[in-house]
Amino acid sequence: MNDRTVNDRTSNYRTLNDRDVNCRDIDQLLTAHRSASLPASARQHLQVCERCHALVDLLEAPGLLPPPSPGQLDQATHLLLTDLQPVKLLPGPAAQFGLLAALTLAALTVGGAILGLRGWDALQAGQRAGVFLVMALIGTALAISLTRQMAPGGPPAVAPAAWAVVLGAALAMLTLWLFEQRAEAEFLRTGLVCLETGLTVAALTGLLLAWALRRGAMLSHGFSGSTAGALAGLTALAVLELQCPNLNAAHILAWHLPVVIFSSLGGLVAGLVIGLIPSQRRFRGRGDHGA
Amino acid sequence: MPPDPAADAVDRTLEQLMADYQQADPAAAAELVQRLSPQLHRFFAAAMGNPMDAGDMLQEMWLRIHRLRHTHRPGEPLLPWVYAIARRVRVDNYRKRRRSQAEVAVDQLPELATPPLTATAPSFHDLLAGLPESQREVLVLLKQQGLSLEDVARVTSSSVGAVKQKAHRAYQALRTLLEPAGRVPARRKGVAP
Repeated sequence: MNDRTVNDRTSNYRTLNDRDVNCRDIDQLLTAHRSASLPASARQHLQVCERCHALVDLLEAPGLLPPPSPGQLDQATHLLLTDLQPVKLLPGPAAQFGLLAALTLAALTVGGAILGLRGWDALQAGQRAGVFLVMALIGTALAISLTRQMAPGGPPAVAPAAWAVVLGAALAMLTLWLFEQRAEAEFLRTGLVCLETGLTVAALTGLLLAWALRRGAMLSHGFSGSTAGALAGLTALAVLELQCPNLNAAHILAWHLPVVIFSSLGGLVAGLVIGLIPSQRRFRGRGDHGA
Repeated sequence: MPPDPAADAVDRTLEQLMADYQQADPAAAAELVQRLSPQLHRFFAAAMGNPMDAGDMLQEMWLRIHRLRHTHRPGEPLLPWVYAIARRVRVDNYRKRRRSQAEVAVDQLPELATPPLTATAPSFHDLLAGLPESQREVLVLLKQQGLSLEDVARVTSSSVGAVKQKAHRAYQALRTLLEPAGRVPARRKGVAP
């Protein structure tokens, strides 16, 4: 138990000692304390509330399960010692974030250089600022999420379903707000070209991101795959906005934004497939020996 | 007399031991196994209800810790890192079992496979089996493993508020389960809280 927790608990005691403790307080105390260390006011409540008394009795004796056998401990120790070499540590969160940012910017730069900047030229200043600022914010959040997923037990990363809602809603609303809709004679033909271009860029960016993430722990493969896929798709979307001069909102909604959705789904599937590989095979050689 | 490396390892914190293990210190590796295995074994046994499964999962756990040891960042607390991996080992084990046992329900972890640990009254683990998985997990980490709220939040990739809410719901459910289970003596029933 750390000092901060102890201090928090001490302040809780003082507050509760000034008034009667109820069942809800007992719940809060049980969450923050070891049962045996409940304050006197809580103990008084236990004298009159049998339901809380029984609950505290139950929680005070949770450790009745058998310990591991000496043989199991020896086996685990042997497992660690047989292949014990210094490891090169995972870079810190800032360095990892920097790598992801550099790779996505590199993909964006190369994509823009190869495919051209006709879209950028066609955009007005307000449209440029709105589109690329929102995409930069979402991309930053996705990269932070991926960085957190690389090392287990860190701060929580936002769930994929939340990403899907935020990403889709933000980009769709932005498109409808910044661009006008009009009928197009070659809506399907021009759209398919953009979709193909976007998915190609997303796939290549996804491979770059997979390389950057290869040393991470990635405990939830579907989660990590869909997040990386979303970042790759967002990068492809940015390339499309640089390259495609068609500013019709219907074209962007129907052919540009789906790149992010398909890329996220592709990442999800790729992650789930990787997750199906038996752990012994998957983790083989991941330790990166040689500090 | 030269210092005993094993004795020296005992005085180090878990984080120091991990840092030394990352640099291939055998005494630190052995000490980590000694210190963490009992609570990890309890964690798996509470989740699966079978000491044999818990033993297998413990070995799988140390294999993963060994393969992923480079992902623990210096300065970060060790227990959330360890339990996040343990949680994944448990989920993978459950999925493996589910694939081999088609009759197991899709959205539930298996109930306790062994007879109740006490014959007279249901134990913590017996009653825990009646809770939803997310609540059971939070209670095991908080009350059995002794993790702090912040650490449980990190392990479960959720917020402290969400952990508190799950714990509160688990307490409510346990209070309900305790009465028919006979843990509330009749002479004291009916006393107003």
